[in-house]
Amino acid sequence: MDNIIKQLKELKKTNARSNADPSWVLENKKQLMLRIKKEKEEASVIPAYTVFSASIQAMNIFVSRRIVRSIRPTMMYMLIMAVVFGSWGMGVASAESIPGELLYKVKRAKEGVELAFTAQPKKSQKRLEIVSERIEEKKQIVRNLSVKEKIVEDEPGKADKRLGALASLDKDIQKQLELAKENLDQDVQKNKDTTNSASEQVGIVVDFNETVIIIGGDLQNLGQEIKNIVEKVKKETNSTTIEKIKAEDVTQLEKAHEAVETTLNKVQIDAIKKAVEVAVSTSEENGKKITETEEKKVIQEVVNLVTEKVNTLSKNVLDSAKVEKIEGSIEITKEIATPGVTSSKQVAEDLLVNPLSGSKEVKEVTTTISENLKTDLSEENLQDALERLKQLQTANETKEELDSSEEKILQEINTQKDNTQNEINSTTAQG
Amino acid sequence: MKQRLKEKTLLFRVRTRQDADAYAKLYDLYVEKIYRFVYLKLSNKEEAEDITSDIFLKTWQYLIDPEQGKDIKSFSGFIYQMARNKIIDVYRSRSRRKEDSIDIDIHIHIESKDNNFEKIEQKHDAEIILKLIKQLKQEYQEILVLKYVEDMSTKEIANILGKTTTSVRVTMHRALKKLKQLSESKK
Repeated sequence: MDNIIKQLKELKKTNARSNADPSWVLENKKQLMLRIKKEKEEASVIPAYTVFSASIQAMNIFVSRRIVRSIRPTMMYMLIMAVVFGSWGMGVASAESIPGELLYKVKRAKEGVELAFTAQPKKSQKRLEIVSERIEEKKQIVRNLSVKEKIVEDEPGKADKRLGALASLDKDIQKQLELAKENLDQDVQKNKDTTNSASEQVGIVVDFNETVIIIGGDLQNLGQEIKNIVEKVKKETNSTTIEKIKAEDVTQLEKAHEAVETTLNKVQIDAIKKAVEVAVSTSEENGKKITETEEKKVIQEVVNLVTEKVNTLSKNVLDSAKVEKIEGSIEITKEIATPGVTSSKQVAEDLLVNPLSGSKEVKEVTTTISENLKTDLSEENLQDALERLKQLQTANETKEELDSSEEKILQEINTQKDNTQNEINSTTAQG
Repeated sequence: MKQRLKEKTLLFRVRTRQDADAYAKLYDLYVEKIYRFVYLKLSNKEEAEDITSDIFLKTWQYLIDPEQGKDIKSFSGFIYQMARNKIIDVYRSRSRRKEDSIDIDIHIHIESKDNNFEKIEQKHDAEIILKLIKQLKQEYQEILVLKYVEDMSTKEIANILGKTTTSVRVTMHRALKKLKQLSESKK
């Protein structure tokens, strides 16, 4: 056997004909390369390999089938983990992104999915969360816009892109607010189907309003920042550093922001009206007249909401007053207060024009608010409005106290009456 | 291992970039082996040269086709498979022409300077062993040539023939046994 193997191994050396002729090897190579070159030239389209297909090829060529087979379960597990953690990681990474960034679309898609999976009656709240997120993005872009150094460093056209992104965000905020209003109606209807309690039904609208108030506060603060930028741009029109942002563009930004605030106020008016309507209609549907307690509760909610609004305004006015002392400008103070106060007036006036059904007290409250607000825009009057509202709240509380006192007195009278009767009875028995 | 990795890298370049230079290097690595593999089966120099040229051209065309070549894992495995198919085609055409070409060109050229007795004897032995190999079935022939002439490992042969290493080892043992039987019966 060894001899045969030896003879086989010798074949290559001993049989010269079994070895290729070196000159033929070279000539054949030359011919082959020419043919390949010609074929490549004749091919009209050379198929382009993508990174993905090249990766598949590399996997196919460099990793043996046995390894692939043995690690297949692990790979499947890793793939699942990559999908799960990848999407989670992508979500986390995209959370802070703003328009124009790579992950922003991921963030918006994630929001869309979350909204689709949010069931009623929580959809309106989810929608407001989205609004809040948009405002946060707007704030970030506005802040980037206001940093002078960044503007200098930026490539041409970036400022315009930012202004474009802001305009787009304004539109989106308004659209989302309108949708939130629609969602609120649907949520209320859904809630109505599941509960008969007036307070529970009002609760959903009250929660909505509270979130709107918070959003309103954010919008006001952002409005202030925008105003500061407008002032800055107007002052520095001749500066080369700021020329990339035109004054009229920033003024447009300010107007757009005011439009957003107006939309928010309209949504708030509707929500307040909704709160009262829900309470009244629920009580009526339950086959009884709205109870005094429920009526008071609704009034209280309305008072709280508007008080909050006036409080915010007053705070802004007071804060501005401090600025006024430093910079000596009373005009800015009034300017800052104007949009907020005007919107509060709108809230009150709208309630006045469209009186809410079923409650005299509601009408009285709104009339008082309106009267207090529409007088003028001065700090004193705002404070006065606040005081009056507080007095109204105190009056309500006093009324409740009086009611309970009255009950106590009546109980005491009854007790005394009973005691007296008992005494009379016992005296009669002894007699 | 290094050689194997080099071959895989060249194959990757050909597949993804249609790299002619990479293919030229693969040609250099395999042309002699493929020629010998074909020659030992066909025993005709000119025919072996033509077939080898054709094998390399067809292999290139196959490799650059994204659809056709997507499952190719090993260049050696693929080109030897291509060679086997070409040889089968030649056998078929020969049988159609009713030519018995098995022993056409099996003779050892004794060059004038190789005139010492030992060398003549070696070449005579080679002629005999070649004739004996030709009597074996195709599968045995291929395994013996790849293992002892081309000095390939069992794993490489398994890769080329698309068999498991155990199967290659068993076939190789049977092929040697058969060859020995033939050799003894000749004596």
